[in-house]
Amino acid sequence: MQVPTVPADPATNRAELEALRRGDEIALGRLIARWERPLIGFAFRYLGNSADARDLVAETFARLYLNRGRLDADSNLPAWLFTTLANLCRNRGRWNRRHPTVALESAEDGASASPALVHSNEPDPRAQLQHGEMIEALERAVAALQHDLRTTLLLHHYEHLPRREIGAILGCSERGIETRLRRARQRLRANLRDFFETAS
Amino acid sequence: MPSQDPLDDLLDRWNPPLPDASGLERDVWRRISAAKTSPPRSGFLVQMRAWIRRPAFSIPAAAACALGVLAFVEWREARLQREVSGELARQYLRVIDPLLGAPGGPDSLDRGLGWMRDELGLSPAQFARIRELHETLNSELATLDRKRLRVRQETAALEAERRAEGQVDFLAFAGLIRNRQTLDLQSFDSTQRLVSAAATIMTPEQRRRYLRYVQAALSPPPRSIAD
Repeated sequence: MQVPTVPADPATNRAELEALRRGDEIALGRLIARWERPLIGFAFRYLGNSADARDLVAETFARLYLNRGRLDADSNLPAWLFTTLANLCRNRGRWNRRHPTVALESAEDGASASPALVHSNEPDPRAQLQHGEMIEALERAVAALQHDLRTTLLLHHYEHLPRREIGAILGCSERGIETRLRRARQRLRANLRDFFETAS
Repeated sequence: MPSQDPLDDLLDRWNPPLPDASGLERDVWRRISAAKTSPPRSGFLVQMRAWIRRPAFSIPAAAACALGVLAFVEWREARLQREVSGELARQYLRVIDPLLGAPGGPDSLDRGLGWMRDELGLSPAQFARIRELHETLNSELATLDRKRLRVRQETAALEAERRAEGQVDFLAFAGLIRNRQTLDLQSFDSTQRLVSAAATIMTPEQRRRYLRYVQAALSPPPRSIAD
């Protein structure tokens, strides 16, 4: 099971947001330190590109600072950050689809998209190869999901946000999030059926 | 403990090395200072676009557009209704006054009476009595119309004879003209009687509107010899 990555202390979030609203610039550094990992993790899994992920997370923090005056003291900081980042990811995804490029990291690494998964001291290279293929297939299947489904799945499974908070990010009810989550998993299963059958 | 669901197992195993976040804060501050120092976007179009995007403008504008479309549709509907109503009124006039032209067809009376009922808001009892009056007059007018037609044919025959032979029986010609004038006056009289009888069945408001519509039929026929 994944370890929760999102800082879950609402009181700290409120205090730092309040400090940021008052013009405390050091508060932004603290926020970046606390939130950069979950945000980069989300963006990277969403886009599959490290440069884009880093770029959009930096843009998200910059927007947070520039719009700090418009935020209320009771604003939901995680929801604001993930909403902004998810929208940026969606726009960047659209841009990338319309302007396809070859990622340098993929070109350098050849066929393997996850070089860290293959270690020289692993006993069974065939199992490792199969594992790498499955991860690649999963990445493709996640990338093929619609924005809402992809965002729901990533925020739920990797960032462990409560359904209520995901609903606030996507503008729908908890029940709607349940439905999206179920659909996302159904589509992943359908896309990965061949791999699951081979593995079993 | 691993999950029973292979999808969850696979999702758990998807742990790619995340991009290096070092220097992110510096990058953020660089963007912030760039945003602060970049000149604000200006220009008429940019300002217009920003203004239009404001809810204070866009919501009333959308409402005004919707109202405008509704008003246009309403105006067109009303104009069409007026045109239809005007045509039916003309048909009715031709039914009650042959001097204004031949009626549109065998069902002109029905159409004209239908128009009256809708336009004046006649009650079923009023409509039944008015219909009875019109049906009585209709047969009377049809008889007069046949006579007028015969007079016209005889006049045309005399005119043809005058052209062919260079002479004409003026006494016969004058007799036909007198006949025609008599028939016209009889038609006019019938129409007046009908309008008066129908008007007495109506309420004052219905009568006022009805007389406004049939004003053209209440003018006496010309006394010239031209047809």
